[in-house]
Amino acid sequence: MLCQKCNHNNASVHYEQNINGKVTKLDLCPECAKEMNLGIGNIFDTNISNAFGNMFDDVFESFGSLLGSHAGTLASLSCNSCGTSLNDLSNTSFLGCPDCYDVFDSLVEKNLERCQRGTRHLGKRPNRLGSPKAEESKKAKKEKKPLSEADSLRAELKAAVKAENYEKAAELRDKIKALENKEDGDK
Amino acid sequence: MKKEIISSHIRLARNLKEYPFPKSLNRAQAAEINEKVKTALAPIIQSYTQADMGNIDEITKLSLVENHIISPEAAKKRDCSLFLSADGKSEILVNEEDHIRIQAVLPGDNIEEAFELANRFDDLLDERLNFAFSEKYGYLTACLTNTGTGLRASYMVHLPMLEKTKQIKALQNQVGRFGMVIRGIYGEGSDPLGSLYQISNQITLGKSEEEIIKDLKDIVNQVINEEEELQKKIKDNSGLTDMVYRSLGILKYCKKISSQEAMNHLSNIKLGISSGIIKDREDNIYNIMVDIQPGNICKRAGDIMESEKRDALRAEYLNNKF
Repeated sequence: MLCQKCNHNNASVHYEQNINGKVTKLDLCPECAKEMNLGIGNIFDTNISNAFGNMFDDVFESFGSLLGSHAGTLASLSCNSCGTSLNDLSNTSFLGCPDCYDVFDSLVEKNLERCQRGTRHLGKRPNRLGSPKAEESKKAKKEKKPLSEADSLRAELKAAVKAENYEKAAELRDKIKALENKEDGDK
Repeated sequence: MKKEIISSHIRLARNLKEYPFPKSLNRAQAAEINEKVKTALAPIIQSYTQADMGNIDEITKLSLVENHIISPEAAKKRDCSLFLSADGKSEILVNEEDHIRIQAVLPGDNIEEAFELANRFDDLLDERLNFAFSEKYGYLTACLTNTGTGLRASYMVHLPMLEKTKQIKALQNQVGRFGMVIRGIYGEGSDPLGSLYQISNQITLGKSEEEIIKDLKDIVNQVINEEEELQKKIKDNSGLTDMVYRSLGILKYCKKISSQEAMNHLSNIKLGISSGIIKDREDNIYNIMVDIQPGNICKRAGDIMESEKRDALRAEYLNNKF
C-alpha cells in the first residue's frame, strides 16, 4: 500500500480516528507521519492534517527487523561487559547492560528514532557531572591532547559500525580491549 | 480540584553503571545492589519499611499491587525489593525492570509536587550511587522505551461517561498521537476496572522532564473536560439517577458480591457524587474501591479465602459503608 500523502513510499503507519462513530482512516509512510506531527494540540480535533498517528504500535520495531539482511554478519558483535549478542537482542527492545548502548549504538539510535521523540537527551543530568558547559570545556581541553592509539582505534570502530562493516568492527573492538587491558596493567 | 483526578504518580528509572540490567543479574549481584541502595538510603529516609518479594507471602504482594505500591510484574520478581517511606508517599523499588525505580504518589492533581518529591530522592541517591548516564541518551535504562529522562508521569483518573459512551478506544488513539497512553487501573496490560484509567507519557527522550509533565497535564485536562461535559449533559437524565440509586441500593443490602460487580456499582456512585446526583457525601469511593480488592480483603481477615467467602465479607464491608 502506498502512502496517501506522498504516494511514493510504502505506508506502514495506519492511523484510524473514531469520533462519535465517524471513522477517518489514513495510511502513511513513517516520514510523512513524522512530518505531520505538530506537537501537542487539541486531542479532540478531527482535522486529520495534524495527525501524528499512533505510531508506537505500528512503528516500534524490534532490533531484529532493523537488522534486515545484516543479521548474519552482525551476530558476531557482542557486548564485552555483559555478553549480550546481537542475536539476543533480535526480538526485544531490552538491552543487557549500560555498555550495550555503546556497543550497539547505531541500532540503539535507529530504534530510539522510532519509539521516542528524538535521540538526544534534553532533561536532567546527574549533579556529580557538573553543568553541561563545564563538561564541554573539559571536552575541549581533552580534544587538544593528541589522540592516543586507543582513541584513534575507537574512532575507526565507530566508522566501521556506521559503514556496517561488522567484521572489521569486531576486529577493532578486540584490539581496543587489548590496549585497554595493557593500559590498566601499566597503571 | 478536578474530581475525576484520583492521584498523581511519578516514576524515575535509574541504573547503576557497573552492573548488567536486572534481567541479566545473578543472585549475588542482585543482593549487592540491594545492599548498595540500602546503604545509600540510610541517611536519606529515617523511617521506611523494606519488603523483599522473595520473602513475603502472596496475600501481602497482592495487597501491595492493589494499593498501587508495586506493579503486578514487580510482585513476580524474586530479587525485587521495596523500600516504602513511612508516609507511603514515596518508595524505591530495587531490581524490578531497572536497578532503581524512584516513585512518588500523591492524592489528587499534584503531579509537580510528586515530581519534586521523586526528584529530591534522585538527587540524594545520585550523590551516593553511580548512575548509568550518557550525554547523548541521558539515563540508560533496560528498555529503550524509558531511556533519557527515565520519567513516567501518570494520573489515575475516573472516566465513567467516556467509558459508557464507548469513547475510550478512540481516546487511546487520540492521546497516542501526542506520545501519551491510556491504560487500565494497574498499568501496562491491565484491564479497566471501575472506570479507572491511568494516563501517562510514553515518550521519555527528546523532551525535558518539565515539558513531559506540562504536555501530560494538557492532555489530561482535555480528557477531564470532555468527561465533565458529558456528565453535565446527562445530569438531568432520569435514567442516570435511577442507575446511581440502584447501585447504592445493591451495595447497601447485598449479601455477597464479586469485586468486578462491586467496582461497577462504586463507579456509578462516584459518578453520582461528582455529577451532583448524590449530595452531602464525601467522595471516599476510591479508598473503598481499593479496600474491596481480593488481596486487601484477605489481608484484613488474615487468611487466604475462597472467592465465595470473600464475596460475603466484601458485601458486609460495603453494607457498612453505605
